[in-house]
Amino acid sequence: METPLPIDLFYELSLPPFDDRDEQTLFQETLEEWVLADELGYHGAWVVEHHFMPGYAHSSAPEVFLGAAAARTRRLRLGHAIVPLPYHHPVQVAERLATLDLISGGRVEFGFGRGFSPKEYQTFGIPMEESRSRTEESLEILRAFFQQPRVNHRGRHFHLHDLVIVPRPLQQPHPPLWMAAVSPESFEIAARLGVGALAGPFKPWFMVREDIRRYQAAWAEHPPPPSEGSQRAVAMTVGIYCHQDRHQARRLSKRAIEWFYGNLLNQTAPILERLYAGYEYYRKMAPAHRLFRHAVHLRALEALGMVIVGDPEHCRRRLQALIDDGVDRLLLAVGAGAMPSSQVRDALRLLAHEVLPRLRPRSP
Amino acid sequence: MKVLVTGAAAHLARPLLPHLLALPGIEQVTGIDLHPSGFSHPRYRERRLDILDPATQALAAEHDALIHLAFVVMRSRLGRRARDRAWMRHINVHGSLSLFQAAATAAVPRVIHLSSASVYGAWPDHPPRLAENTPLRGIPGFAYAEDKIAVERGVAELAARHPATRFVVLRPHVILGRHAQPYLKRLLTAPVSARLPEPPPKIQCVWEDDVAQAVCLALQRAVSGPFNLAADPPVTLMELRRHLGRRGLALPLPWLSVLHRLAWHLTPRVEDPGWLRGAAHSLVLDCRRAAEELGWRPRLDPFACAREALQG
Repeated sequence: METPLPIDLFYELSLPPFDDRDEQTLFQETLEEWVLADELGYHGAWVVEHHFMPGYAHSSAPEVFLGAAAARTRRLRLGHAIVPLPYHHPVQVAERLATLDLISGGRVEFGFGRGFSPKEYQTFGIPMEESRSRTEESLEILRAFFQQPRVNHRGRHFHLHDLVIVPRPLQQPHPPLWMAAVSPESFEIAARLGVGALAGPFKPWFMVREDIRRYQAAWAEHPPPPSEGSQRAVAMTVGIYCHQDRHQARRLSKRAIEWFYGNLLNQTAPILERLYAGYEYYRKMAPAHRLFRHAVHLRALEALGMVIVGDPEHCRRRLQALIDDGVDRLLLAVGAGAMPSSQVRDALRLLAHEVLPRLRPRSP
Repeated sequence: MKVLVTGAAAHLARPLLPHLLALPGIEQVTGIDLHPSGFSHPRYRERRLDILDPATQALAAEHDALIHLAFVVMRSRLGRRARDRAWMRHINVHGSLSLFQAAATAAVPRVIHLSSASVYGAWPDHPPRLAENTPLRGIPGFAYAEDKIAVERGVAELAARHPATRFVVLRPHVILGRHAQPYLKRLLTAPVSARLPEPPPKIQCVWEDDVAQAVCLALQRAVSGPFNLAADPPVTLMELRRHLGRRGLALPLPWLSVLHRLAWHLTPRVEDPGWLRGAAHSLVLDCRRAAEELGWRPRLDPFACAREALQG
């Protein structure tokens, strides 16, 4: 099946308390869902990197998972995102990315970010106030690696002298790059860097819409050259469940979606409660977050435009509205990644057969 | 304006040279090639020079624009050295980039490099149409595309360091016309063709005169960067062959690959097996940038291009 628009899938590899699967089954069933998605003509599938978040995200070694996915799929683009750059040595990020790009036949898309968990920073021995400077420096090193065979770098955190890093990625100059964008400023930074902006699942739509406008305005002011792998695009993650019967859609997915978003908003809570340098925007959002934590309710999440639940026609209308309002790539978290695999597969088929072929590109 | 054209005896030079000399403001055109082009015009002169010759680089510095067509496309042209991959790479990559470096150092205002749509490769995950910002991803082992990509990467670096020189990179799909590569003509008319997977992959082509037109537009307009060039509608190889009345025997692609590989080892007259490897997937270009910034409109569709090719 050919879909007219690139529609992707998004996974955290969740294991909710009401799911009686073990981790092995979770990983195998997810790989099988990706094989099905590949056959159904989905454009890509993305997997996050999180550590020490039992239940919520068991994807702590995404490059290993993606290696298996590369071997089992043929067309699916493989979203390696978000990799929090401060947790890793940039040379190792480059090597893993290039290896994955080679074994997948150039199907990798790479998303980078700063990471937001104090526990992760603490464990990996990185001062959280260095998050911005480390991310920037790592990105410089990655870009130098993409541009030329020998890397020289003298910075605050890393010194590299005449280093020949191998292998090199198949996609030249590099795989498509995405930047995790939460604060409005980070959307502007993404535009100036000439990379796509990837909006996570935890912001209400009215904010994302504003961010897209800022991204496009920043891009129009300083357009980077079109040749060097730049991409002007906004991707957005959205929770979705689709069923022929809209009541059934809600009944089946309510628990999973409320569990996932409750957890998600909990994960970001430590940021809000303590003041970390460089994360001002989270503080401003704190009152809204406190509100969600007490009312993570399917209806509220739908009203905020964070999830879409219903029959094919409802899902089509809502997805089309996001496309028309400026989203270039939709990353669907089917069943919020917390429903039984059989139900996820049903929704994948239904979306592929009845919704995706009817989505239209935004008129210019 | 004085223009230097490398590969003056190349297939594309035949339609390009007359177009070029008919443009207003062109005082003189110099062609270089190892072989005589057979073309003559009062304002045209020709030099027998190798791309690797330092005299070629010196010549580039004396012109206002450089149009670089010279490239080892068919390895069989290298004769005894057809299997010498390093030699082919040396001519294509080192030769092109040395010439571009010389032009940039001398601040030659315009450099037009003829690249190819093969820099994108044909891959199962490509979107329906590829724009110029698609990462370059040659088919592994396809020497021609590998070299085109390496040159493009070098051009991007030079362009960033030498803002006084405007680098334009043209990425035409398969070029067909009266002077088309005999190898491509043979693909259209051979008694044996490939049975491709379902749904059959879509390709495009572009008429040689339309590419020549794009080169002229790129010379006249203040543009830079890469431009896709291809004619619509996308077609399958079978549709083209059927249109030309050539059906022939369709062998499964893997069989054909094996035969091709055997032939490549047995005779120097057969091309690099990489040429067949790209045939399994669609490669369709988004040419809006050329339409908007160059004002380029292809005049012939793929069927008409194929008919032209067979008349040549």
